[in-house]
Amino acid sequence: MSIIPETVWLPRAPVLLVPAGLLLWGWQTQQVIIAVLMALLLESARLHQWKLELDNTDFNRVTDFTSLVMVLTIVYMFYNYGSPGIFEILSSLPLVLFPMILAQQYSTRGNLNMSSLFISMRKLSDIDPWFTDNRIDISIPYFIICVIAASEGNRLPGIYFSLVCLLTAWLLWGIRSRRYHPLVWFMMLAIATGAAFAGQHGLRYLQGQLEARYIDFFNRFHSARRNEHRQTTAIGSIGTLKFSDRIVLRIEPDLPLQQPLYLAEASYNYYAYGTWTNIDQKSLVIDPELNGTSWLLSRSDSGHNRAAITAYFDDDEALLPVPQGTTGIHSLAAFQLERLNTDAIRVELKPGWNRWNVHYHDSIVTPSRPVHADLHIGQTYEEELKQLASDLGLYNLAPVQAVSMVENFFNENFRYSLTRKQRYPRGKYLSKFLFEDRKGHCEYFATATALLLRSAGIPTRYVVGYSVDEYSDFENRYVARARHAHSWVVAWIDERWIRIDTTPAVWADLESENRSSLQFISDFWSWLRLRSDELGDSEFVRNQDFTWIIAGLFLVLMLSIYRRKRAQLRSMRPGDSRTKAKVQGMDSPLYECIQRIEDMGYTRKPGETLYGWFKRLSKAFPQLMDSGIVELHNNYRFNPSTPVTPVDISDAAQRIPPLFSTRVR
Amino acid sequence: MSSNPIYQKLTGNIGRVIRSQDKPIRWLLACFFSGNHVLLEDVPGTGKTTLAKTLAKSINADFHRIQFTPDLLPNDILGVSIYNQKDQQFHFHPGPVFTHILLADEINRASPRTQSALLESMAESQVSIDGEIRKLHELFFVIATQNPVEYHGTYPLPEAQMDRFGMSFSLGFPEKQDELAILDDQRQSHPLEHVHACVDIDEVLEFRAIVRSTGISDEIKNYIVDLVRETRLAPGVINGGSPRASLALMKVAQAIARFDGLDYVTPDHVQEIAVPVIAHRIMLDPQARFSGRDTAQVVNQVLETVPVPI
Amino acid sequence: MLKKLLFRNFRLLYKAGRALRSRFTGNGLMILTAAITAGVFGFDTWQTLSHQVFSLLFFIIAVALLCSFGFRNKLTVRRLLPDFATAGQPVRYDLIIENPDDREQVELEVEDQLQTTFPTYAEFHALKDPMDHRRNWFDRSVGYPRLMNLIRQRRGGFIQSGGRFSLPAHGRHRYTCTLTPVHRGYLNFTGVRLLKPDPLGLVYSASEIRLRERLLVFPRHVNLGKLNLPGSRKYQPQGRVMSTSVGDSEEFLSLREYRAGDPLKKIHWKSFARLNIPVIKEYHDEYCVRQGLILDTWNGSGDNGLFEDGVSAAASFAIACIRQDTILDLMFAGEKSYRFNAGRGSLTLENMLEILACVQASNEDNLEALQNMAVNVSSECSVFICILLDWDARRQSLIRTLRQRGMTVLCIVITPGPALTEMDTTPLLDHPQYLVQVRQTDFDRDLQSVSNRTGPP
Repeated sequence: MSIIPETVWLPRAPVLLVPAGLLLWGWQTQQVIIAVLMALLLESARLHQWKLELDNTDFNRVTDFTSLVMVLTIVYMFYNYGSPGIFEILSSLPLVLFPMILAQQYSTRGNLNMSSLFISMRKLSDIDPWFTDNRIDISIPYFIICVIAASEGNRLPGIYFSLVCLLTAWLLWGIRSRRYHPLVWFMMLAIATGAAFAGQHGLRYLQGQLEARYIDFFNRFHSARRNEHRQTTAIGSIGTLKFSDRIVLRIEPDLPLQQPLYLAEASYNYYAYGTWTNIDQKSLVIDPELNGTSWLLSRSDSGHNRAAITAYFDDDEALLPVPQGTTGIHSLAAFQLERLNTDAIRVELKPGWNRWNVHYHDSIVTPSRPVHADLHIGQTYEEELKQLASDLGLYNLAPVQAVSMVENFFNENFRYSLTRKQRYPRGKYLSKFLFEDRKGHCEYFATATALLLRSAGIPTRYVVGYSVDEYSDFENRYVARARHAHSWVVAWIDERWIRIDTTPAVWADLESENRSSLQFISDFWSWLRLRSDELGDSEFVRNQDFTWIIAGLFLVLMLSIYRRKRAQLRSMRPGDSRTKAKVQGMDSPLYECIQRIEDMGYTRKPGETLYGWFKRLSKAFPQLMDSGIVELHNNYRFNPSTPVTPVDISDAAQRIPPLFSTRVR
Repeated sequence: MSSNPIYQKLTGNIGRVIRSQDKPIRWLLACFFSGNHVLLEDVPGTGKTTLAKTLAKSINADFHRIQFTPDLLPNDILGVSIYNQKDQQFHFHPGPVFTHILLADEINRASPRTQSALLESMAESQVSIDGEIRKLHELFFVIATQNPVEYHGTYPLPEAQMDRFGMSFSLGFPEKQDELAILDDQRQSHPLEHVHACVDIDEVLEFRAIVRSTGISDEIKNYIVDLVRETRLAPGVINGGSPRASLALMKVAQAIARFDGLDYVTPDHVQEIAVPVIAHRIMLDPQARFSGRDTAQVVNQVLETVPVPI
Repeated sequence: MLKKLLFRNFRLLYKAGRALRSRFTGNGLMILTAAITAGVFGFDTWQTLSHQVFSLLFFIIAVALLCSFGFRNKLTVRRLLPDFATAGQPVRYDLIIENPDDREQVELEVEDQLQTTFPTYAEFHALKDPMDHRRNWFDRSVGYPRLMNLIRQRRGGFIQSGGRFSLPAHGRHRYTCTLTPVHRGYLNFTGVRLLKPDPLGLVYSASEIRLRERLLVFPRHVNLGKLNLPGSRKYQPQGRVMSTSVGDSEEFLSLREYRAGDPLKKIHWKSFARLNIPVIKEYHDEYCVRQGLILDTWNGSGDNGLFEDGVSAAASFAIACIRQDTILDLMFAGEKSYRFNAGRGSLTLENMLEILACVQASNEDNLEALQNMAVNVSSECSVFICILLDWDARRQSLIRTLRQRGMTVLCIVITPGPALTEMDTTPLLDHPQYLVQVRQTDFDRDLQSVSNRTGPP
């Protein structure tokens, strides 16, 4: 025990605020049903009287359990998603931390010790005699975590912002200072909200500006989600690139692949400082066929190669990975399909596992034609590249020969590498790659090829997608992992777009060397998830399975605590040592009056006599003292030989009409 | 509700001499009529002697004052047997303790031996000298005064002996206007000289009997005992109130009830005199004492927490 | 070099922490933390919407800061401190706050301030914290917990406020605070801060009122219960502790008739002559005990912790002895020799504790002066309680000297602990149990074992 008395930090969250935060989180991360369950559990704790006597040891157990789950979650998320795993962890925080808030709400004392939260504090009371193990109510921090976790959903920013403003106002109303008029409070909040609205737009704009100038490690986080407007490459990133082994696509071609199958997702035409962007945003909606699940990309669906592709989409809008020369997309449960000006296919579909068939053939000509941007090089690189093109003699060669010249050039002089250690000035990386280091990863090769071909006058586009080569014996089909994401170029030669991939072919092998030994576990897990989702039609997110396992563990924990507490509750408490005296006069009509006063909100302290209490209330109820009812009541109660009857008291009560009905006993 | 006539007469009488000390006078009279003794803890010059003399004069009782000094011997209090040459016998000369109202001034200046001589006589209402037992008068009432213990040269009463006093409180300095009034009153003569008896001793004894007969319900008795028992459990307390405290609380509450013209005790009466009756009996451990806690605080806290019957 | 840099950083950290805590309410700090967290997760505005949350919270805090201007008021504060307090024991006291204004003051908070100065680098470097050996390696080398401890020591106590309150126009409020003093001596209060929250309840604006006051804090002490020290009367035939003279005495009680068996020497001859029957003087055996408490103030090793525990031990004995109605002679040597007499008509227990609260350790060797003083007093005391900070040859010879004069001596030696030190018991060979070792790490337990050692068999 410490010498300093304990204090409780942080007030309790306003009623229903935490459930509201949970619902916000559930909506944004599409786990509504779970969120509703959690909210109901928490609210019922508030409503009914059944509470557990939880002490420090119990809370420590809950926290240790939560820490264990947290560690497992972190490992799981980072393993599966790589660096973007941090956002997955963020979105799962309310679930991971739920046992702690649940324990707090169901406990009689309603708050936790700081030492339960921080293990380092558990030993401090031995070391430091002045250390006080203060208590903390975690309901508001939990609410804040729910709101920030909800932000991971990244859906409907306008509505999210409004809801957050509303919930924050609700929270702040509960903790406001009653010194000021509510109008002042409202004005301040309105100003802050308005400024915040402008501010958050400004932040996005600021980031856009910064990103255009600086390329950094961060950009690798983007790789998880394809954006048809922009692709930030890792050109200029320092360090070694790592990709996860997570299986992204599953491909079942009708015939075994003789060479790697390139599935394109998007293409771009404007390059600057490590980022490829699409200047043009035009798109064309393609109507589905009569069956509603087929889309024809050319008038006759003449592509005679077939493949079935299965992929996971966590958003309802995505770029579809399709082979070059796709003529038709079949059996796709999509709401809308558009073809972008760069021949990329954008769809609106139901999130989750989706499967579709493609009809394709390499020789099919795609409808888009080159635009001016397809020749753009940019001032920074123009001179050097033109020099290089001239050195290679590209100006004197026909386009086809120019292409082979470029291919040979890269093939003979360049190596594949995932590592870049040296830092260069911004904009210099490409030239260092071309003229000095001569090593890099696929983005370098593709970008350099594109710009080189453009300097030779050939319109070229930068394409991103996957290169499928790996066959999974376990699943009996081809799989594309995250690390099989690839970049290449398409060049406009002889009135068609030709695919050119100058990245050394060994890249797939090199990447697979980095494969972890536990890959087979995650592959199995991934297959399991696919199977379970294929079997049932659920709208839950992929974390679902993981979620249910944790929920199961949590139930076990709860049961164990419950059983322990039940045993403790059974021990009878010693009876009250205060003996009950023989009481007289308990039928005094004044008690009704007292009850009514208390209902109005005036409470009597336990040691306060009636006379003292009524005197204190005499400002509000002057008739209480004047009527003489206290003296009569006291006489009735405490005089062993009292002449007073209840009727006398009721009569006196007539003189205090607001409190008493005119009923006479 | 009107107050008792004897009480009114006495307070009026005393009030003419001692200004605006209504509560101490009321408590003093309550202690007197309940048959307990009083300990006043006060700095010199607040009017303790005047109060005792006025009371004595008002009821036409004998009054003696002992000024305690460090060299005071027990015999000076109790009395001594002196040999008379003429009839060759020892004659007992009674000490000042054989009186109705005794003012034992600055009791903490005398040695513990002398203090105990007085305290034992108070407790037993009799004195044993030379093997003979002599009873004190039925009306025997002691007002002891004590200097606050900051002053050097004092032997504070042992805490165990404080229990013998029914109540302990202080008079305190008067308000400014009252002090001015004192100057006016005593310009020509002392008001004490003009005090006459308004009640006689038989009436006093009779009133004491009436006080003893005041009704007190079981609930109130329970409340009194609960209060005293709770003081034993309070943090920092080595010894709380004893059953003597419960007894004193009941008796003094009965007196207060009679003063208010009632023949039954209410919880308000008990709460009014709880602190002066109980606080001086409580012994705090050194930790609590040197942490600024005092016994009045303990009693007040007990009053706030123990549920009172309503 | 690195340590100086660390120290400067600590100072910055400390000042920043204090600035934050004095400006922001508890809720405000929570919102600030939330804003920072949202900012961290919202760093990439495309990945999450967390930047919206950050933006909102940031502007809420900014608006709150902008709207909290100074706090003008006419409030007066009075502090009602108790007479004294004890180190390590919480004590409650009141602040009376009055509002002479016509304006009601709603939702105020009050902070009572103790004088706090940040230590200099030299002081920090020289500090030896006994708690350090229990901390992990990182904390020990970096030294941050040590610094925090030093600051807490210098402040002298913790004050816990009594929460928010409202004050009506021309009203008065009694505000209770709880103070826990850290060490003995005088605690200095500097003033009171009145805090008013902003409309959102996140930020304070403060008005400072200077209110300097001092509170005396007694040393920490241990309850020793009833002591049965050697030299006190255990087997007296009769008698009560009442005499005003020291030692055994027979006090005259009265005259009475002769009874068979009375000793002849007690006959009062004058009365016999007059009465022709034997008359006896009746006596009453009484006694009074005088004990000496010697406090060693010189500790060569420079660890003040030993001296502080010595003072605590002295305070514990002082309380136990004086409560048993003995006379206590406190002796210690500083710049000169000091001797104080308490109990039974001289200094009170409170005065004695006040002296012990203020006694300082000595910088130079004063064992000889202590010995001389003890020898001079030895004829008057029945027992010596010596509280020593070491058991070296010099101190052993001090004890030996006292024993040679026939004094009964109880030795309390304060050692660092936690292991028991080997101690040579030759000076107290006849009563080795009167040499008590009290370890700093088990102070309470070791000191209370004195009652067992000297108690009734």
